[in-house]
Amino acid sequence: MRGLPGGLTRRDFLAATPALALTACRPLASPTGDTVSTLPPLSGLDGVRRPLPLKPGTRAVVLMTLSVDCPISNQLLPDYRELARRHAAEGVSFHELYPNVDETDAAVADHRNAYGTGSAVWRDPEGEWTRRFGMTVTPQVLAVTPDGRLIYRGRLHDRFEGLGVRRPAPRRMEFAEVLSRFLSEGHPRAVETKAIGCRIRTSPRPAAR
Amino acid sequence: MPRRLLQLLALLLTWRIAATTVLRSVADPVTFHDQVAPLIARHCVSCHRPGGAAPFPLVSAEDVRKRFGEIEEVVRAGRMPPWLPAAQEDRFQGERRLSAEEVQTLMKWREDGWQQGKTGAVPLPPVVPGGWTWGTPDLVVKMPLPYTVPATGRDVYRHFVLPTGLTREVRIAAWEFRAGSRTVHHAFLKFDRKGEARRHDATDSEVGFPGMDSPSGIQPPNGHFASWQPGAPPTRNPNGMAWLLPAGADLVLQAHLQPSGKPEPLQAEVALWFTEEPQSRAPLKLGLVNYGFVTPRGSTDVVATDRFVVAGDCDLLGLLPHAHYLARRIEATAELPDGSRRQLVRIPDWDFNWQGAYHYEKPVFLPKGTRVEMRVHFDNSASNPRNPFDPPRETRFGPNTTDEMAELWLQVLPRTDDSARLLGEAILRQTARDVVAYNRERLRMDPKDPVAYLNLGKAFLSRQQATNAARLLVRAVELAPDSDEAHYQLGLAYRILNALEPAKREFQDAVRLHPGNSRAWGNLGLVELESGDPASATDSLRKALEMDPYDALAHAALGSAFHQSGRATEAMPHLRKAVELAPDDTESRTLLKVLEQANPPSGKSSP
Repeated sequence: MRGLPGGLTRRDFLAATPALALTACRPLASPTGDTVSTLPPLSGLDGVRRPLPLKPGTRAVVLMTLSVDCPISNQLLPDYRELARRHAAEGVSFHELYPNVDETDAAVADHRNAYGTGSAVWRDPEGEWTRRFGMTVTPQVLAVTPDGRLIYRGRLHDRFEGLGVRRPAPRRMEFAEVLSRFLSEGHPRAVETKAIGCRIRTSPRPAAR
Repeated sequence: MPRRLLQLLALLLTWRIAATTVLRSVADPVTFHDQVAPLIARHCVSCHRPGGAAPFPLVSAEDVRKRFGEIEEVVRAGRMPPWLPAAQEDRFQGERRLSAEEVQTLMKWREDGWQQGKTGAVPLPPVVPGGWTWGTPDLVVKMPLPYTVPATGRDVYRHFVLPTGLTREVRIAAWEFRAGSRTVHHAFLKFDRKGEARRHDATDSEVGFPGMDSPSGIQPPNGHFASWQPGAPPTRNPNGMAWLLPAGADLVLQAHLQPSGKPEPLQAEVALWFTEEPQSRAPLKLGLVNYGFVTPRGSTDVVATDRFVVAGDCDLLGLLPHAHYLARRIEATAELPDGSRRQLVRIPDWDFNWQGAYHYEKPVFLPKGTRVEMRVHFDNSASNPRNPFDPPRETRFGPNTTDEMAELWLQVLPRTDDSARLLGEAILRQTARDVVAYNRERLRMDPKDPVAYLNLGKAFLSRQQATNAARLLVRAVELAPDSDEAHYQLGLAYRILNALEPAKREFQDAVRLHPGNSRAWGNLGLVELESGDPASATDSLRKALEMDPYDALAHAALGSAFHQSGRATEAMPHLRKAVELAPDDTESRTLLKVLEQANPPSGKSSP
């Protein structure tokens, strides 16, 4: 059953666990048939664009968007890195993505000096990935299979319920739950939750040709 | 020209001017320079400036434009600027609320295409204060060592000791807090002259000690809130209301810290400005609290209330509401003796993270007989986004953030001495009631809570019910045999019951457990004196005064011990100090007079 972008089937959407809020049952803005290997390259901190590397045996590719001065993505970064550490040996490839067009390589490097280094770091100032996957804020987690099927798009957990609405601790570790289920079941369910954070600032969309 | 025609012309002219103004205001584009920057300067830049408490600056047009999505969301929701009380007739100092017109101005700036303003004009640099607000402080105290706020996890509630090194008592006219870290979300300034905070700090190797509740002995300045939150202006006490900081006292900072994602060093400092002006007006603090409420899981509007009848004419200067995460609304009203009602505060969307004290622009007069009522509304349903539990759990009063509280503290200034006395007595009664209710609630949660037994014992002692107090304090000592405070309080109860030997044993246990407990040394000295042992009493009382030179009772007792030992010359300075510290101590005054007559100073005897 084709017809939905990102290799998703309608069954994938319908099968998504009802316990997690499906904020929008609409197709992801990812083109049909793209695999991680065929997606546009991303920039490393050295300014060189390269495709996201995929090691043999990779079962899922996970990114979280970050900004150098977004307090929400900064606060959630250690939790993301802890999750990456826990799943490092399970074939999950974790990445950190700085999508804001106005953040320089030097600013990102400074940020990493301050907040430490974790997973592989990328920049997407052209907004190719964020637009393609409909990512709008930092922090926002995206998890896909190497063949491009959506596992999860949304918030890491529910510590923030809105800008300025912060729980004393997360009630649900939503992405961790989805990832664990994916790793045990082996097939993605395309779960989506609403991410809370700072708006991503991308370059204007290229004019249609 | 006929008069009616003149009136018509005037009317037309007025209409034309008004219409032109309206048309111009709608048609003229909003610019950053003319409208947006002043608005941002007024409401945002106290935190959103380079090095400020907020995580990013809002000082240029570009700063504001690139954050506009977030700004729109938080200002429309009323979450920024962070100001909890709704607008009301009695305004608070430093209100940080955007009017509907100001929100509209911001939105129009976007609609008009983010215009900068006059060509060549420098974008308005909002005023950024540098240095300390009131010039060079008389004293700056700093945390001696930095504390590292963890990168992640739950918020941290911690006390930090800031030694002042003061060798004389001073009156504090103003103070300013400099967090030096964005992790500080709010803080209270307290002081401790008995070393309690240092003692707690020494229990582990980390800087400071944890807790949302301060241990006894660590108190805010009498009658003051001494509260700080990001963006709030520093505190200058009204004339005549400077508070006393005793010699040798430590400042204690009780801070609410939010992890930022990376380990953050915190080494806060406090600037103090002294005054020589004596305190001529003594404000009082009174609390409306409810310890008995229960919020069943799923309940959407449980209301905790409390009332206080004002016992003497006074002016309400400010208030400080307090609740945790389940509270949604907090209201306080005053019903005046003439039957009229006045809204004191209404917080329609309570947010624990932005709690603070509010001081009125003009004091609110509360005549004797006014009934003040507090109402705290709790929402313990899953739809409360701040509910820490999923699914919700039944919640009651408790000291942890996941428990709840319902409190409203008022700062009042009595109008007359008589009002002050009446209010003071009423506050004592209310406090005794609250201490009993609070600690009964603690015993309900934990029937073996030694602190609850200790506090109940102290409450009964304050009511002069020593037999009941002793019964509770014996239990406190059984449950916490290493608590010097429990032994000390039990000693007091025995002393009131005239059981001098058991009293002496308890005071001896207290000083053995904590050699720095000056009150226990003082009372041990008193019991030794009452037991006919002035020599031992002299040693004990000297120790008490080494630790607390302001203990009037210890001075009086030491004077008496020296007198009983036939050492009048040594007795007189202590009796003088006792009378100075406690002018109503007639016994010391009489003894001093007798000794001075019998031992005239050598200089006086020869004219």
